[in-house]
Amino acid sequence: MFTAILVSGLVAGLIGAMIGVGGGVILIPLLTQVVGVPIRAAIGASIVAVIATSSASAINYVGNELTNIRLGMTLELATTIGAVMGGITAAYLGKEALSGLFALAMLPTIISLWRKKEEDPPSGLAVTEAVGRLDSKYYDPKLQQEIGYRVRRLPLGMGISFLAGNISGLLGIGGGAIKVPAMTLGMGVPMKAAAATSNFMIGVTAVASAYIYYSRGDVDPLVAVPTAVGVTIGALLGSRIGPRLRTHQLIRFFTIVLAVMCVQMALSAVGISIR
Amino acid sequence: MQSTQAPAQHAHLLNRLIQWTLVSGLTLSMLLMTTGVVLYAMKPADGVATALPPRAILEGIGAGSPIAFMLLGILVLMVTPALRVAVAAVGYVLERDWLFALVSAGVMVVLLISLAVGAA
Repeated sequence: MFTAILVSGLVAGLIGAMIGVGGGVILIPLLTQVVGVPIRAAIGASIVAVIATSSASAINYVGNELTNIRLGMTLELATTIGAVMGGITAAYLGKEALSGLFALAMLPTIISLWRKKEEDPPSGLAVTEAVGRLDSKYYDPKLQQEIGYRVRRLPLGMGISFLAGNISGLLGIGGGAIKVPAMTLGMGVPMKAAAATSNFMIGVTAVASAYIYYSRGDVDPLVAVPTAVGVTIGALLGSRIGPRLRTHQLIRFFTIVLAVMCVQMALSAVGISIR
Repeated sequence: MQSTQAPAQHAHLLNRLIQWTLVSGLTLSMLLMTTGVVLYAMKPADGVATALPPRAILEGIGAGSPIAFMLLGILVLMVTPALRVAVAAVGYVLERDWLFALVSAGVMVVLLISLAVGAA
């Protein structure tokens, strides 16, 4: 059991970093559907693992200034409030309801992976001077130019961040699949900066519900520790080899795997289990 | 010229401090968790405990309990992002950036509320 959990963490971290999704969305179906961990313990372990991957992503942001810390901190006001409420609500839901909600929460990830292009062009507005307090710029080495952007529609971003935090607290996932489109499509933040800022926010968001899970006894160390160690090692490996192996076919393949897991989660919501 | 350069340097320093906080918290946590796993592999007979308060965990560390090492690793991991918010709050105060000092303090308050909710 211990080894199977460690391997699940490794696999989730590796694939997550390679295809660019948070570990939780792969991890929880693996733990519940393949290893047979009860969903409550899987969510408790995932919320801890998610903090580890968010902290690990800080290793990569030396000097690139992709992470918009001011924007992240502002949106965290909304994600943490949402997460506390999600963490409280989770106690009142049965395992069927949690599985069903999880299947629903997987849909944005599956849809965005399916529509992913080979390389996303930067969608930022060309700004020469930063005007607002949340505006930022970063250097894109591939395009060899500085990409500046203005942050728009903050209230919309706060609203969606609240929802993302709520889902994170309820289901033990990062919620990047909801925050990133909100930032790129809604707020005018370029893709790369949005992804980095989302990763930055995930740790604090997860902490807001993790302590609630911990004190309720839903963080079983024999599940959470192998998961967190596995996911961290997997994510660090994945971020090294990921860029070289990331192909359209690979993303398609794992999108289909996730879709199958999503169906399994939906089926266990109505009491049917296929393992 | 100097007036525009100084804040940029401060911001860069603050980013490095935030990064350092996250990476060292993660490293310490991973070391504690791995120690717990190794000890557990040597003597797995230790009873499993969840939701231990910090004092009981520290007593367990003294007794060489594998579960106590694992739980301390989890707690260190959970404290790290909160510490990052505190570092940012102090940094913004030193920069006299009152708006973002207030925003960081607000996030800190929500995290404290979650502690209170957990304890209830």
